[in-house]
Amino acid sequence: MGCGPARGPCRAVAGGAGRRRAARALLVCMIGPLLFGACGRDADRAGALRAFLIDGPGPGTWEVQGLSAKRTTWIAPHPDDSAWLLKAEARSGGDARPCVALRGTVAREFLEGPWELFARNYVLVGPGRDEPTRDGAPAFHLRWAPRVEARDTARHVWFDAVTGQVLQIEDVAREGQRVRGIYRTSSSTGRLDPERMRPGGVGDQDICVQSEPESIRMKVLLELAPFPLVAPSWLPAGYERIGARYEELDDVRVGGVEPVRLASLLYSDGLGLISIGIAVPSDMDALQEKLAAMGPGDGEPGGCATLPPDAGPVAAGPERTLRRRTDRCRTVLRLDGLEGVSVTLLCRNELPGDEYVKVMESLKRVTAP
Amino acid sequence: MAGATRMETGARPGPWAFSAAAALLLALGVASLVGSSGATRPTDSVQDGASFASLHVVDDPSVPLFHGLETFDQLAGSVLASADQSGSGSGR
Repeated sequence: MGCGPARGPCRAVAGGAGRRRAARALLVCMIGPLLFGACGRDADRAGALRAFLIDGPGPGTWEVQGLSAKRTTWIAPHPDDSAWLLKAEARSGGDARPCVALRGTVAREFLEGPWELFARNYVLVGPGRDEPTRDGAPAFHLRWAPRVEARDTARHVWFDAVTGQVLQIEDVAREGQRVRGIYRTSSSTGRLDPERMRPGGVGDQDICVQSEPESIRMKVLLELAPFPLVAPSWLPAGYERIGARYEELDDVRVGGVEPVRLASLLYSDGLGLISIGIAVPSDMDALQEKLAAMGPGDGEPGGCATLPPDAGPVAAGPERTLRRRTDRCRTVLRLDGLEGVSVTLLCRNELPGDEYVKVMESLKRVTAP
Repeated sequence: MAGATRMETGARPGPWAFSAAAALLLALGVASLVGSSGATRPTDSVQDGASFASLHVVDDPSVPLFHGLETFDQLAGSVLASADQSGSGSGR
């Protein structure tokens, strides 16, 4: 934790009358990081990150990169209600009509994991340093690491050198590969046109469509899924279920007739994600075939373009064999024969590979929420 | 306790008072340092053919890495539509 001589509240106070204050300041600087993760200006920056996570990104042009795709979003303040933001996907030509989003949902959309889990499982580690953003803006760089020992994921955050606001976030997995990047590329809100917003209540207001995986609970999933539901009985430290979803995918049909029926569970520690899909084997095969044909959306911004070559299937027993495909950025695990369903786990290698195997090994039939 | 009494009566704290605080801080600091560096780093020990308690792990190149899909939740978005536009086989 940085509590150097230039860090305001952490500065030593000279003189006999200031001795107690100096001791108190020293105490705050030494214990503060243990309790709150920051002191002095770092505490201000931690507060700026908290504001970003809870209240959403500031106005401007934001680029969000995953492993496979990137997109650019214009964000502007809502003209009437500070609880909301105006948001539009950046595109060429013409003014963009914004949709209206609750502030916190925008950060959740950018970062995927809930901020509450991030706050619980990650802690600020120092010292930070002056370091420009990817686009060359003067900034101060801090890093948050897992409280769990010997885990290598991290969230790197760059704060504006003048305003202290969040300019850039990069989440990295265990071998340093970037799994997520969020960049404020400009303070301009582009061609987002607040005049084109259509306030007026239900059916007339441009509410941004938000993915709400929490809206389906396990109880509902059990009622909806027409096949036995299985779920991990063990999770890596800090991980919790943050979503449960059931879908019938009209875009993917088995034999061109029946839509694929898929139950999915999503787990997170606030940064890392574990996604588990459950379907009957024929549906999982159809979905796998469809998804295998997909290419990266926009030039593989995650830098994982090199894939191991396909070499045909390996001989595997019908049960208790976990089939794995992995590269530097992703791991896919598939287990067939458990309760008559196929289970596929997707992850971005935030954890050691053993942990994902243990998750699959712990799968058990779920009969009650 | 004696130190606290002296502080409450307004007397200047002796050098030992500061030393006690420093010792506490040092202990906390040492504990923090030990906590942050004392653990061993787990290794990614999953190898082709590795057997866990009930699972046998095999690297299977026929399992796709699902370019463009990082979580199944993304299926709810436009992933499949973009797959149709990107054509089959790209990126593989």
